[in-house]
Amino acid sequence: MHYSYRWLKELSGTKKSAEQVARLLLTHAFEVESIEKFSHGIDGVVVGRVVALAQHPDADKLRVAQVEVGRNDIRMIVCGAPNIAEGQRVAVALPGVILPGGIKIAAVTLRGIESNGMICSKKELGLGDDHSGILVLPEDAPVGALFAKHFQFDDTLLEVKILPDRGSDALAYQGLAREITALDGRAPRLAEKGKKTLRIPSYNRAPKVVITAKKECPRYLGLYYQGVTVKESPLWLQAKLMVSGSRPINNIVDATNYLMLLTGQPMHAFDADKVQGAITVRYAKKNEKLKLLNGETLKLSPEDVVIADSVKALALAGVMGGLDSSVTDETTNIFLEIANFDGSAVRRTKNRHHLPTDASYRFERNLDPNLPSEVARETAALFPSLAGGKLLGMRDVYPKKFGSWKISLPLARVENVLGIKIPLFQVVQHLALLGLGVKKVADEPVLAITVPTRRPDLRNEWDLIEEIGRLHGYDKIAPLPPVLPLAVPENNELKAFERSVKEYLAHVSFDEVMTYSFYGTKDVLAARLPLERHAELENPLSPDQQYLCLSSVPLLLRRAAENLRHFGQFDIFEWAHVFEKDLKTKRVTEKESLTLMTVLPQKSEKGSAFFGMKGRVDVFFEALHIDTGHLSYELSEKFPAVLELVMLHPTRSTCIVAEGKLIGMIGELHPAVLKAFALEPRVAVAIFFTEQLRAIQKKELLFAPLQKFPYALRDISLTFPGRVMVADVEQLLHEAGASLLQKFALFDIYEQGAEKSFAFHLSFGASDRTLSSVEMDAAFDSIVALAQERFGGRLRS
Amino acid sequence: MMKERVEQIAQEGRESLVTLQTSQELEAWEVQYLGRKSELNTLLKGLKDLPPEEKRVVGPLANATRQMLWALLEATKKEFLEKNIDWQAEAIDVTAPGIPVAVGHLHPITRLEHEVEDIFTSMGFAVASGPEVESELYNFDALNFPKDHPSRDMQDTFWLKQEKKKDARFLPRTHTSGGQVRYMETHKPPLRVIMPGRVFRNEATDASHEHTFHQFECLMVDVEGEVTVATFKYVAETFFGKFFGKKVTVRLRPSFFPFTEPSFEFDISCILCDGKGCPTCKQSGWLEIGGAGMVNQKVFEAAGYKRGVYQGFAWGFGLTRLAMMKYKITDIRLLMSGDLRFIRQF
Repeated sequence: MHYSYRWLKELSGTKKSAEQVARLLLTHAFEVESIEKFSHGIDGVVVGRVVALAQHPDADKLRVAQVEVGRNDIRMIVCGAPNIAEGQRVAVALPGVILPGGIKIAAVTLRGIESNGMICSKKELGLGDDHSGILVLPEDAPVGALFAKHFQFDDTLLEVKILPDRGSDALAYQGLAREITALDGRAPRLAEKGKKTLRIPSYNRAPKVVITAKKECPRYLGLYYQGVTVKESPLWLQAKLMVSGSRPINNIVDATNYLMLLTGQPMHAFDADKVQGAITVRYAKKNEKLKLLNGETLKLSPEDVVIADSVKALALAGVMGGLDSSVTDETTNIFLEIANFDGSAVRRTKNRHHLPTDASYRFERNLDPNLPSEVARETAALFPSLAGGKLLGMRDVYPKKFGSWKISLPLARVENVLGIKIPLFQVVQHLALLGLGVKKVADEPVLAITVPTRRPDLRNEWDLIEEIGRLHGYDKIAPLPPVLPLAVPENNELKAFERSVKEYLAHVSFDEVMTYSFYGTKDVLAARLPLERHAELENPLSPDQQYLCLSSVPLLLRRAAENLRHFGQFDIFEWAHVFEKDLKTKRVTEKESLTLMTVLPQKSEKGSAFFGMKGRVDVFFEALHIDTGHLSYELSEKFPAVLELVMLHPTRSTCIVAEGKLIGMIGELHPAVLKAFALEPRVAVAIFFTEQLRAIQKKELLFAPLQKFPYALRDISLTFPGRVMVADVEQLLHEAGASLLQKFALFDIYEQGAEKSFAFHLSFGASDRTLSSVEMDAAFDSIVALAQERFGGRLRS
Repeated sequence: MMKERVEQIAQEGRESLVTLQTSQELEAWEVQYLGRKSELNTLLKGLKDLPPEEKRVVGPLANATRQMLWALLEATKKEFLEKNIDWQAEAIDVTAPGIPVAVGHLHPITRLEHEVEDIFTSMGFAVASGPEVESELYNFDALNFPKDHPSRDMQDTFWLKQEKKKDARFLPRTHTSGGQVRYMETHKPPLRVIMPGRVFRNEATDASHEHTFHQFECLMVDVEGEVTVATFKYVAETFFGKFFGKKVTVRLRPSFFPFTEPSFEFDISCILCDGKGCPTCKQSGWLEIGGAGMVNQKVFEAAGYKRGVYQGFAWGFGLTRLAMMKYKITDIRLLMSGDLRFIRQF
């Protein structure tokens, strides 16, 4: 909220400059987001007095005024306003002044008469729309004074960020001024105003008030004024409103706005003659309609609370008044509502109808139910001079009175929390400055604190300690090292694993990329993923961020396509949380997933993207000490339930499985996916489920004795029917080679017609002897025999 | 006689070695002076036939000569090896680039996260992680955000679609603070923990605003009186001092968070000008870093702790903001852009 420094100064009595006040608030209370001069745009406009007036000799509609604008300074000004009269105090723009509309004032000659300035209308001063005549100033306006200064437009605005828990008191000039007074170290000055009760005639003319929505409306106070005149507000009031950012409308509305700014209490003025019968504060009826002040017709919810008369809803409680019962220029009798509404209820209604207003903003911060009494007194003091009329009635329905409450504050706790010893007298002083009742409990190191109802944020000892701490000044608290037992922090294994994975990948060729956790229908469909398995946002920023990512792949593909503009080949990875919705339970599960992506240079050979990635994965496993003993690469067709596989090429992808558990998958992208992301077939991905991957990381590394007896090396080349795969041959080598075949390595695959040949280096050996050639031949022959038996294979000639 | 001959051989060998030009000549020299049939070898073999007094003199002398000649030979061989290489023919352009080997890069946020974790773990803090999609309970309710209260407006929230109105509501977490209650539910004080993570806010993106960014939560709790506001200042100053490698002062300003009481905004002395005032700190001498406060007793209660027994501080700050400060990144959107021209600078 923007606060006028002048007004704050007037209420708080501070001697400090705007900057000093801002600094004080920043250190002890609220952040001041800006300090700016109020730009009124009327520099150089002065108060003048029309000392003589004559008809312009050559123009019927113009008159020539002699205007006193300072001591012995009388200017001749030609004026066309119909309402100009001798003796008036007026606003004069002298030559050189530039007015808010951009008009530059200069000495001119009008039909032969010299004119040294301009007598201004409200519109010309930027103070309203009235251009029917010049603005006539009050009699006491001092001639020669700067207009802006005299009418207090020259002001500084403090933009203060009032914290959500202080909305009940500090969103008002009185509240913030009270705070400033306290921070200045001076005793509260506002609360001590005369508490004289309002005098109401015995015949109460105010409509009866009934509250049926008791929880939502703790109090409803109404004042009935008869015979008011709706007109323009006086200049001082307009100035106050304008500086605070509120547009003057008419004296009645301006008064309610002024009082709200001053006290924080929103008010509403009904045209009393449009209220029929008693006022009821009740829930809206189903499908009940209400035409609001802003012209909008709302269809109400039965949870909304309305102010109604015997016929219909008149206003939306705590949010906005209705158009039909509002004050117009013809209004003579008014009913002023000064009520208290429950914050949550107002907030729900405001959110339901998207109607944030000044009133709802304050009510949802839970205002003090005792505030209406004070405001009623302020109103009674203000109204007669402003609108005339007589206070002929008042209603105050306040079934359950709110009283102040007590908190006992153990003094030790103040030091325990803040970590600094504050002398008792200072603690007492800080709390007393805030207007709290402070009493020392006899014979105990405890203070008994009484909190006034305007501070609902102060509910317990810690709330009070905060007040003591901030008033004392947090800068007085010196840093103090803790005294703690030496303790090694608990290990976070997944986090440590994540770190070692990322560091390894970045040390080889992979760049770490972070992408958003949201994507849109377009991405989901392009990746062939099922929409219905995605968790969806209720309020996305845009349709392309509607779903939570089920996989990192779609967004990584987008980033890859973008990076191809600058780089011909690259490896990227992302470790991200991904989300999947269960079709039956509709529950969303979250898991961490690691995605590696490799983009090869253009014109790569068939399968090189896949094998490039597989090779990277193999060394990744070795570097991370992944136990590959029980790991196998399975055909992806065996895992129809794995969602991610739909993105992959059906015959160039594989699932990585360890002891029946899916660890991850490697594959080139499905041609349709590549097309949708405008990529060429040189991209491969590896996706890992990180929990499962970590589970097969070796827990400890154990030394195996070095081979003592040399291996005997032989090569074998076997020819099979074409369907046989490397894994099949490896399996048979493993079985047939039994304990003697220590290692084997594929070094060639050769395809001819319907046949496929595989050539392996074989290493035979035993840990306790050098093998004889007989033993080795037997092992070799059993390999050939098993190849023949299982797949119809033979030694390649 | 023998003695003189040995001395002569030594001298001849030494002198002739210097005159040699080719490796063939060197081989011939080796045969002549050190070969099996060389005079010196023969002489050594015949030592046993000499009278004892001559043997005593000649034996050591002949052996020393042989060793000396071997040493000379080795040195000359080395010299020959180098002398006979045509260095010009061997020459390569050493200013040409090396054979490229790919290397990757960690994301700047990750680098920073590791750095921050290392500082905190060195102070005995554990590192915890939590889910990115959080329940309304942990993100708001347990942190003392009342339902239908304006404090919920402090964080623009994305919500997940509900299947049924009555279902518990879930959201991409708006802060890492939800981890506080999660952690305290499974741990008892004294505790020290940091929780890094990705958080989400429903706000439009521009050069300085992102809907997705990274945060750290820092929580330290013990019995009442042990972990105070003064402790918080100490831990924060120690951390930032280490992080920026210079003395950093922490300034606390009053603030409000439902889950802390008292609550602070905290600033650090500007790391560029050390608080003197510069364009980075807008002449204020301070940089706004994050929010902090003493854990609200209601949060302890939500975690199952007894009210009024424990006390501690919670502290959150943006890793993203820290990265932007540290690396002087001018556009926050680069962090999530996946642009390798950006990533490869780290």
